Amino acid sequence: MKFFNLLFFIILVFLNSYSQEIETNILTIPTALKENANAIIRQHNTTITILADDKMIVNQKQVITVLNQNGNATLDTYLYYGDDTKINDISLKILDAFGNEIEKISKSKFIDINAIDGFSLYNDDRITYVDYTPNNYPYTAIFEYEYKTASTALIPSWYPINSYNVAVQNSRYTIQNPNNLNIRSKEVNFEGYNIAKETIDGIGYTLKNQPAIKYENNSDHYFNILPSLLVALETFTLRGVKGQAKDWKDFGLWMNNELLAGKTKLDESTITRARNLVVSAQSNIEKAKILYTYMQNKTRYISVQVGIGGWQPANASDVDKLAYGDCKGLTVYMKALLEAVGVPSYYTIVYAGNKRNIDSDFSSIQGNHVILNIPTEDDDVWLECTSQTLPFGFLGDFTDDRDVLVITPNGGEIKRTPSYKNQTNSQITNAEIVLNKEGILTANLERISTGIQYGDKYSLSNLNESDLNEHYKTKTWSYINNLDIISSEIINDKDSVKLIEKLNLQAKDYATINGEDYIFTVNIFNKNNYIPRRQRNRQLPFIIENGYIDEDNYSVTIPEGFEIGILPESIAIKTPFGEYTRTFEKINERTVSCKIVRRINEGYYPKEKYNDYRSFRKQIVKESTLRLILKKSHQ
Amino acid sequence: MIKTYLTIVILLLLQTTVFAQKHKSTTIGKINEEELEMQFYDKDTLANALVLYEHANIYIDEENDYKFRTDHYYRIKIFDKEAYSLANINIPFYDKETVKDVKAVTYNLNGDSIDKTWLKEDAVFTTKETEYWSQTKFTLPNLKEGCVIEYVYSVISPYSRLDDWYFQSETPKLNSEYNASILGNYKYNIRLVGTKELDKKDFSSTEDCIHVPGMSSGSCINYTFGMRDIPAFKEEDYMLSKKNYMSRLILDQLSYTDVYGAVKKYTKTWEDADKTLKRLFLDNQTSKQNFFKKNLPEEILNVEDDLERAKQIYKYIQNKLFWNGNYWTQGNLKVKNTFDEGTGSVDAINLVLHNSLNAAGIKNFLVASSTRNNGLPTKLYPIIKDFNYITVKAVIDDKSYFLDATDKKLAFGQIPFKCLNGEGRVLDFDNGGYWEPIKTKSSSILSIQSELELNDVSELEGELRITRSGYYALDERKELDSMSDDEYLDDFETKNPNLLVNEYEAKNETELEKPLEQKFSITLDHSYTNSSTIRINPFFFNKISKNPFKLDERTFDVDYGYPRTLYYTVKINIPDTYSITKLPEKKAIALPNSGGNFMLSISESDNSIMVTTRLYILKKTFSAAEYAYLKEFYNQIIKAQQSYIQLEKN
Repeated sequence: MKFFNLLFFIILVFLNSYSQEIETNILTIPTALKENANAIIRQHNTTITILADDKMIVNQKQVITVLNQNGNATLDTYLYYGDDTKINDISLKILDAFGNEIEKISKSKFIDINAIDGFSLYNDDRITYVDYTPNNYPYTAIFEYEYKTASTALIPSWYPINSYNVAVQNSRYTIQNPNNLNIRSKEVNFEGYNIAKETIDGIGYTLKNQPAIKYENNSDHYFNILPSLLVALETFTLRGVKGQAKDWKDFGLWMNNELLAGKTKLDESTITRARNLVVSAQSNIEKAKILYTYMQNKTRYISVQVGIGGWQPANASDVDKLAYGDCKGLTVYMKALLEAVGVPSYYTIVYAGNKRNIDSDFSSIQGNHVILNIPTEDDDVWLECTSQTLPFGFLGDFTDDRDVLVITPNGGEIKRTPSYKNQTNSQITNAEIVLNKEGILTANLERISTGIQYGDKYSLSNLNESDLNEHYKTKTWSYINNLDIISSEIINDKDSVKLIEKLNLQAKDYATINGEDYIFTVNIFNKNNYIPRRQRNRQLPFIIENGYIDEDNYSVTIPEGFEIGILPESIAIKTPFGEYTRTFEKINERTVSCKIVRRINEGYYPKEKYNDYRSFRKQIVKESTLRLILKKSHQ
Repeated sequence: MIKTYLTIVILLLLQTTVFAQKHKSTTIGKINEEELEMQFYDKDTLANALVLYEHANIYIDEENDYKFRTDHYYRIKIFDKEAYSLANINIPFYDKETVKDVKAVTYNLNGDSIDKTWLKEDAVFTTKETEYWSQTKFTLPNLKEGCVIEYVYSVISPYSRLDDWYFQSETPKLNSEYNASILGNYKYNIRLVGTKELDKKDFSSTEDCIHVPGMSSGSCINYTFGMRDIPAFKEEDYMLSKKNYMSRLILDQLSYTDVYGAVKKYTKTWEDADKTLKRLFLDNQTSKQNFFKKNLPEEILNVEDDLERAKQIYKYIQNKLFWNGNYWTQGNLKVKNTFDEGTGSVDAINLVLHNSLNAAGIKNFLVASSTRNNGLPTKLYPIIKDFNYITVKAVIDDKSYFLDATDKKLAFGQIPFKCLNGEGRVLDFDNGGYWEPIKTKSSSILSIQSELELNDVSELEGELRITRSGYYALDERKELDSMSDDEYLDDFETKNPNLLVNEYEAKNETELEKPLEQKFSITLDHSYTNSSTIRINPFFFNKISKNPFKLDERTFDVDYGYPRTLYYTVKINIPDTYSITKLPEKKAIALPNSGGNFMLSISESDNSIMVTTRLYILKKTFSAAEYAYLKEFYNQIIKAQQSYIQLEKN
C-alpha cells in the first residue's frame, strides 16, 4: 500500500513537470477578459490528493495578473490552517508585466501568527502570511502552497470565480483518489458558465475564459449566483474525530453520537434549580420561556475555539459555571436546561447573516452558527442563544427564512426557519403635531415596530437616556435641525415582540415663514432617502431581501392666523415592488391629518426592472419632501 | 556572636528593602461587601461600570534577571450588562516582553455570602498577532449584573521604555495609582496630560534598593502618583486625538548610566534630539545625495529653475515609489534599496525625497511630526516617541513647501490631512532644529457654478461646473481614480438623485497643481409645480441640509484641520411666459473672532435670476466656547438654503 502511494507520487511529480507553460505576460491576455477586470486569474490549479480518510494533500497554484490597485485584494496571501495541518511549502513570486521575475518570497519569509477571526477571545487556528506592496501595475503574482492535513472533512470547495471584477482565464480543480475512497460531489450554479468536466479517475473540472462580473448592488448573494463544487468524503476525519455520512441523516447521527453526546450533563443543583424555576409552568413552551430568560440573564457570548472545539460544543456544565460560551456552548446549555425539565429540543446548524441555505441534498461540513429548535405540535420554536436581549422565539434577519440542519437522536433533518415577510415587518407612527407662529414644531409621537423592524430597533432599550436622546438627534432624525427631545420612553414588549417608542419633541425653525407664506414639510418623522444606485447598464437580476410596511399618521394643528387652503390631492403609486399612498384630510379649520403608507415587497426581479424599481424609490423620496404652504387668513 | 547578629540584621534589612517595592503591589482576593451592594455611582448615575481601584507598580525584578516588572491591579464594579466587555482583558506585549502571574476573580453577592469565582489557568490564552506583537487574553467567569471583577497580571520587560498610564478612560474611576521605583541610573522626565490635577504626588529615594550579586548596589527613586474621582472621558466629533485631552501620565526616558559610569542619553536637549534622530531613527540615511545624483534622470537635474526642478523631482519620486502603509518605522532602512525596490514606509520614501532634493541642490529639511491620531508632540523637551511621521520642508526663493511623497494625488506643497496636527520639528542639522506649524500650500476651495434654463416641460436644463482645489481636489481625484467614468457618474447621480447627467467632462485630473475642473450638462428634476406656480430651490447641489453640530454642550475644541471656502452661483434663465413673484432673502452672517462668514446675494434681471452664496471658514480651530456660535451659524445657513424662487405663469 505504502509503495503504491510512493509510486503514485512519482508519477504525479513527473506529470506536473510537463504541465503547460504558465502564461504570465500581460500581452497574452484576451481583450474580452480585461473588460471590467481589476485582476485576471491566469491560472488557478487546485490539486487535492486523498490518500486515506485521514490523509489529504492540497496543492494550490495561483497565477494572478493584477491590473490596478483595486485588484490587489484578489491576491490573497493568507493561508489559514489548523493544528492537524502541516504546510509543506508556500511561496510567492512577483513578475513584471512581461513575466520577468522581480521578487521571490520563500517559506522562511512568511510570518506565522494566530488566526484572528474577529469575534473570538481565542482561536487556536493559525495564519501564515506575507504582505506584498506592489510598486507597479500591472504585475503578475504566482502564489503557491501545499499542505497535508488529517481533516478530510474539510476538502476545499471549488469557487472558480471568487470575486467580482476579476476575470478567470483558467481555473482547474482536480481530486486524485488513488485508493478509490467514496467521494460525493455536487455542482452548484454551473448553468451558464463555461465549465468542462474531465473524464478522469477522481474529479476534474475546468473553467475557462470567464469575463469579469461587475459588482452590482442589490444583487443576489454570490453563493446563489456563482458556480461552486461541493465535495465530501463518505468516511472522513474532522480534527481527529472519525465520521461516516452519505446524507444528512447519517451526518446528524454522527454529530449526535460523536460531538454532542454527553454534552448536556448538568450538576444536580442546576437541574434542581431549573425544575424549581418551571414548577408552576403549564406547558412546554411556558417552561422554555422561563428557562430562556434565565439563560439570557445568566450568560454572555464569548468565543473560544480550540481544535475540534470549532465544531464541538463545550460541556453544558462548564457553561453553567463560567456563565459564558460561544453559540455552540450556549445552545447546548439551553438544551441541557430544557432536558432537565423534560422538554425536548434539538441542536441546529445554520448559515447566519446573509440568507443562505444549508444545501438540503448534499451533506458536508456547512453552516457558521448554531441555534436551538424546540418542536411543538404547531410551529417549531427557534431560539437564538447568544443574545441576552432578544425575545423568546425571535430570530430576526440573522437566521430567518432559510434551510437549517436539525440534529436529532434519529439523525439530521433539514427544516426551514420562519420568515418575516412584508407586513410582518411594520413600523406604525402616530404623531400629534402642533405648529406655532414662530415656526416651532411640538410633537407627541408614538412609534410601534414589529418583525425585522423590531430587530433593527430593540437595542435602543439598552441605551441610557442621554445616549438615547443623542441617537434620535444625530441618527434617527438627524435631518430635523434644532431637534430637542423633551422626553423619551422605550417599551420593549418582548411577549408580543413589539418595540414602542413614546416621545415628546420640539424643533425650532421647523417651518419656514416667508412673508405671507408658512411652509413646512409634511413627512416629518419618516423621511426616507434611500434610492438604489443609479446603474447605466445593469447586468444582474436584483433582489429586495426584506419587505416591510411603514404607516405614518400625522395630525397637524396649524398656527392661528393661517388657513389650510387647498390640500394636495391623494396619491397612490402601485408597482410590483411596493406601494406608496398619501391622503390628506381637513379635520377642522386648524387641523389637518395626513396618512402615508409605504410598502416594499420582498422579491427577486429581472435586471430589466431595475430602473423601474429605482424610479419608484426615487418617487417616494421626492414625495416625502412635499411641503404644505399655508396662507395668512384675511379675516 | 555579635558579628553573627549584625549579619542577620543587615540581611533582614536588605531583605526588606529589596522586597519593599514588590510589596507595594496590590494583592488580589479582598473585597468589601459595600462595593458589591453598590447600585450605581452617585457622581455619574448613568455609568454602567466603575473602576474602584487600579494600580500599576513598576520596579526592577531581581527574580527575573533584573528586568523591568510592572504589576497591574484592577478592581471594577459592573453595574449592568452593557459593561460586560470590560471583563474581556487583552494585554498586548512586544517581542521579548512576557506576561506572568495572571489571576482574576469575580465576586457576586449571594444573599449574605460572597461567591468568588476564580479564573482557571487554562482559560488564559496567549496569541501572536503580528510579527512583533502578541497578546495575553482572558475573560472573567460568572459575571452577573452588580458583580465586582478583580484581576492582576505582571509584565516583564527588557525594555526601559515605560508605557503611559491612563488615569482616565471611558469608564469613571474612583482611584487610580501609579508607583515606579526606578534605579537612579535611569532618568525619566514625567509629565501629565489633561486638565485634572494629581491628588497624590510623592518622590522619595531608597538607598541600596537593589543588589546585583558580585556587582554594586543601586539606589532607586520612588515615584507615587494618584488621582481620585476621575470622570469618564467622552469623545466628541471634529476633535483632535483624544490622547491630547485624556488624563494620563507619561514617563519619558532621558538617560541611562551604566555600571562603569558611561551615560547613554536618550534625549536631553533638542540639539541632542536632532542628532539622535539623524543617527538612530533616520539610520544615517540623510546624506546619500551622490547616489541620487547618479540615478535621477539627468533632464530633471538639469532643469534651470529651482522651483520647477523641485517640482519635477517631487513628481518623479511620488510616481516611482509606492507607500507600503507603514509610518515612521524608525528601523533599518537604506534609501538606495527603497529607491530600487520602489516601495517603502513613510520615513523611507521621504528620506529618498530629501536626498533627491539635496542631489538637485534644493535646500530642504526633514520634518519630524505626529499624525492627528497620534496626538500632539510635546515641545517641553525632546521626546522621540511622540513622533510617528516624517515629511520634507523645501525652501525655494524664501518660500516654504511641506512635501510628502507617499500619496500619489498630493499636489506639490500639499500635505495629507492626517498630518495637519500642530507643529513639526524641522531638523536643520547645520543650524539647529526649530518648530514650525505644518501648513499646506494650496487653499481648499470648492466652487460651483451653474447656468440653467427653464424649458417647455418645466424642467431645468443646463450646465454645472465644479472646480476644486486643495483638499477638495485631493479627495475627488482619489474618488475618480477608484472607478471608471461610468461608475463615477452612477455614483454622482446616486448622491444627487434630482440630477440627470447628459454629458460629462473633466479637466486637470492628473495635473495635480491645477484645480480639478468638472463640467456636467444636466437636467434638474426640481421642486414641486402646480399648474401656474413653480417653486425652485436654487440650492440643488451641495446643499447643507444637516447641521454637523447638534449637541447642547461641548467640552473640546472643534478642529477643521484647514480653512475652507465654498462658492456657489446659480443663474436661472426664465422664459417670457413666466414672471418672478418671490425670491430668497439676502443674508450675511459672521462667526465671532473672524472665524468665518456666510453671504447670500441675489441679482435679478428681466429674464434671469442669479443666486450667489459664499461660505468662508477662516479658522481651523474653534474653541469649545465658540461651539454654540458654530451651531447657530450652520442653522442660519440651512435656513437660508431652504428658501426658493417662485415663478408665476403670465
